[in-house]
Amino acid sequence: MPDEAKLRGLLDGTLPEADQAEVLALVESNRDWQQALDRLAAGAQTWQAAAEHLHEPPLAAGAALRSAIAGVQMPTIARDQQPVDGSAKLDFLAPADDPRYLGRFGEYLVEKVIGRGGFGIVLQAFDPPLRRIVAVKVLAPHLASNAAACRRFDRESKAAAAVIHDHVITIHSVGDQPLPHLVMQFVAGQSLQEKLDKSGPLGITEVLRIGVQTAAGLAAAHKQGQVHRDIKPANILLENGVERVKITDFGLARAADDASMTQSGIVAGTPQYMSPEQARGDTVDARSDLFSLGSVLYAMCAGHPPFRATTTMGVLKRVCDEPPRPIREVNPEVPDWMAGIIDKLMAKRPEDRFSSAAEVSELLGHCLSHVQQPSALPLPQVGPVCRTGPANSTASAPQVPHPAEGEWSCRCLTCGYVAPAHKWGIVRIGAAARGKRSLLWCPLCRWLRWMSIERYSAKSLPPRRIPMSEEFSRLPSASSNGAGLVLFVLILLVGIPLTLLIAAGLGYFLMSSGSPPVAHTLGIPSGNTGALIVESRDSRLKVVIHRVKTPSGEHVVGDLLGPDWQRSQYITVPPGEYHARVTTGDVPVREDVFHVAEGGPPTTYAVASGGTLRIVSDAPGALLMTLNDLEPTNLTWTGAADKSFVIPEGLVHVDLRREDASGRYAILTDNYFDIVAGQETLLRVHEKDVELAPGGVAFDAIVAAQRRVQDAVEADYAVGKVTKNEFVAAQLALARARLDWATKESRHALAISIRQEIVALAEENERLVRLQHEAGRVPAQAIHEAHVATLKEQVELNRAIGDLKESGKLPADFELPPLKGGNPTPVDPSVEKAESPPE
Amino acid sequence: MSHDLLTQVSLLVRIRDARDAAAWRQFVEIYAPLIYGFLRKHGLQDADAADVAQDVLRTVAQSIGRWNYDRRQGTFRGWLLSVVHSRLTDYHRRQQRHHAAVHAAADCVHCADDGRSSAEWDRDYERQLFHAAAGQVRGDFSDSSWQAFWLAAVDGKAAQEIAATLNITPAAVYLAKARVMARIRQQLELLTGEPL
Repeated sequence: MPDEAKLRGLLDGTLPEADQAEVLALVESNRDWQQALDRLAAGAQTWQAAAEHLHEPPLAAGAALRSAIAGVQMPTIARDQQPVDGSAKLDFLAPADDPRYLGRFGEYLVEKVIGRGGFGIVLQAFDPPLRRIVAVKVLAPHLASNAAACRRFDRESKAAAAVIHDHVITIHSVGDQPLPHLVMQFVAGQSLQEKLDKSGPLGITEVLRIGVQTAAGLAAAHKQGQVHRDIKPANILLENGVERVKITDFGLARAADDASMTQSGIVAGTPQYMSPEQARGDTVDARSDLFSLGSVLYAMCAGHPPFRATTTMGVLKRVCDEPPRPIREVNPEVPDWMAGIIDKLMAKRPEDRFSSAAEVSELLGHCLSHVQQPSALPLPQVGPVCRTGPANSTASAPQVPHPAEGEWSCRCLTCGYVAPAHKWGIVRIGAAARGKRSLLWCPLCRWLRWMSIERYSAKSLPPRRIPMSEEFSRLPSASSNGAGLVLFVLILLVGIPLTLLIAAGLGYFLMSSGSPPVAHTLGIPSGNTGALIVESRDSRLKVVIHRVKTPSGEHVVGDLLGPDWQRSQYITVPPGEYHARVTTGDVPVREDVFHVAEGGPPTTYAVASGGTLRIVSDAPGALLMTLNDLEPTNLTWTGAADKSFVIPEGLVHVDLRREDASGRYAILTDNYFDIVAGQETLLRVHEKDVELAPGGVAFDAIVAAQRRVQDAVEADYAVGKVTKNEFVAAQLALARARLDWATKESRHALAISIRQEIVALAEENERLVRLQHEAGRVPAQAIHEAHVATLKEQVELNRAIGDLKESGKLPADFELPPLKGGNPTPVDPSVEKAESPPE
Repeated sequence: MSHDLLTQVSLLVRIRDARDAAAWRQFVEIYAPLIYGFLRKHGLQDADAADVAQDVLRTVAQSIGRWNYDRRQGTFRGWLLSVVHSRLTDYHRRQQRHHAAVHAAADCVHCADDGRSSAEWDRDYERQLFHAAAGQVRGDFSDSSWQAFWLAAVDGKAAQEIAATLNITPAAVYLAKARVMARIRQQLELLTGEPL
């Protein structure tokens, strides 16, 4: 038998030298080994396709095509992002008399384009009166039409011009004709980014030298009250020869941010170097630049940024929640003390960082002297480094920026947190979402919450905090109509505690309130038990629950504390009055008094955490639970027994039903909600691309895909791009994918019901084609084909049932279950109208 | 944006990032000839095909951010084809305004041969991707490895014969063939975000 592990090693070059000759000899002499090697490299189909396709020459682009496509850039999503190559529009330039110049910008003769960013373009130009070369930063034309961006650009440029320091680029002038621009010192040299790209990690002396100068430049700016906001290697210029540091782009990140988010919803700037407070959209101060400086030092030592992920959102999440990989693991040559300085700069909480850039500059200067003359100068003492683990600690409570009267704002319907819509953490609010409710991340609850997106009015509802006890005191009076209504909300984000609350009878969702959001204590009152749920990622957290007013006096009911926090813990308690006290590192954080009523409606709730769903119910009887549309699981409870289920990671979608009660379903993603704004984009939800590992998660991927298609179709329908036919076709494709999965997993009954769905979809398709024929858009042939397709699916269905019965995989008396509803996929009826493609 | 971050992401994801001009260029490099070729096969003249291809690319640029293609089904190619069809229809409509009579015939031709054209489309689509992937990984291999792969996998020559021609051992031929193929396969996945 060929040894696959060895062959794989041979293929990717990891096989030890010593084994290579032996394996190669086996490959050479043995057909089985050759075949196994080929198989590992690619599947048979790929081999065949490669032979077939590579044998033919590639399709070629003719001259007409070349010239036609040269101008196509990424227009819509990129409205504020110019392409990086030299072919960008410079149509705002006036012609120059001298042909050596690209054109004239005001009085400056433009030599070439030297850079581009979110805000516009940087030109290298000649200033004839002063006979010097300058760099002119021009606000992009589309931003120039945005009054807010212009004002911001003007204000920030002027403020930046006030900073005069050797290590900050000098701004010569600021103007607004013909477009808003600023003229600054031209630095011949490269950026630190370019240097890192070329040379990889830098030596410690180099790191310190650049670090000292950058910190000194920052200190000068901070003294003027300027925060850079976008410190990153690309904004640190190194002058030719001496490699003197010049920091560029002060404050401009904000001007670009203002404009881009109203237009595209793309988070402006490079997230890898952002501070956690910036990534969350909180207000930032000079200490945010210190974090970024720490990230830059890290990048110089490691050769790459500290936080990496495949998506922008992934990076932002890491910035907020995860410590970077210890620098000494990446590059063991980095001295301990340097790692300490970087750690302290990169503390998640601003107050754990150094107090000022001046201090950092001085410290790095001492270190540099030490490195250069180790014997003469001792290493300076670095203050205690607070290595914060997960970011989410007491002091990082988001500040509530008050929206202006009439401004679009989001209001958390749970805790009342109000903020201007564009400040909503990393979430941007699209025009389409306005006036509606959306499920958004509430920074105060630290949870996805229903938010009302409305124009802010101080009169309507000022930001408020609801004491927990107040909420609880209202509970017992709530009617217990026991209608068997099942409500549930299940929302999860990766790395963020997930709670699923299901209250049967009368549902209550008691979310926490108040700030700081160190812990949520949620209580659910019920007939026989109450539950206290605590969520936090602070491992220092301790929660003590006392029961008050018992006949025998006060006693401790529960004691939940770290470091075993699973992010979410709960205990059940009998009816009574309780007092919960939450402390972190012995500092009291919050206290709650809550009451669990006797004889209230029965309760079912569930907590999901770390891939396990625990359901607790004191409402006896059967409960039907369906995860991700898989086969229903019947659950029977007696009393307060609880059950655990392992839930797949990733996309989870839970349905719970009790008797005649119906419930809404909830779909949940493991990633983030990102509401993208844009003129043509409706409210959208993006998920992380689901990995398709063999077995296991395939169904998640299908559900996710189905949802994506639905979203995409909705969005496209909104702009008249997708027809009902395309929607049905997409549904068909997905149903087929599910069918594949069900067949592979030998879930025969499920497969049959999916086949039924497919038949229904084919019928739907046929109906649409008929309508189109009536409208004269397709020939009669198409109806015929659609009809044949439907018949084929019906035959397939019957054949599948027959085969399964014959092989005993289905009982002989199996009958087709009635199809849920008429239409297999509930579609917004308005989509019907979309049959005709837009003119 | 740092390079190693980007290379982890499939081309179809990368082109959603408007700042990633390199990705867009690469995308155009691969897909423009495909779209153009398809249009030519549907009877468009050189200049018209180039224009419509331009429209298609513009539509893709505008919509890719909104289109979440289904990786499992490889819907991207289907979606792209539907965009091509839709722009082709637009083109015929424009033509119709000029030559009302020509339209009916043109539109029917376009409707009727959908089945055949989609098979053709799939074949050309894969061909483009294979060539793009092969071109991109070519630089990672020595000439003799590359030739060994090509002679063995594409031309179907026997290993012994290739070994003699290139003056290497047959084992080296087997290894080169598998290594190159594995890289091409990875590159394809990176281009499309899905196994072909």
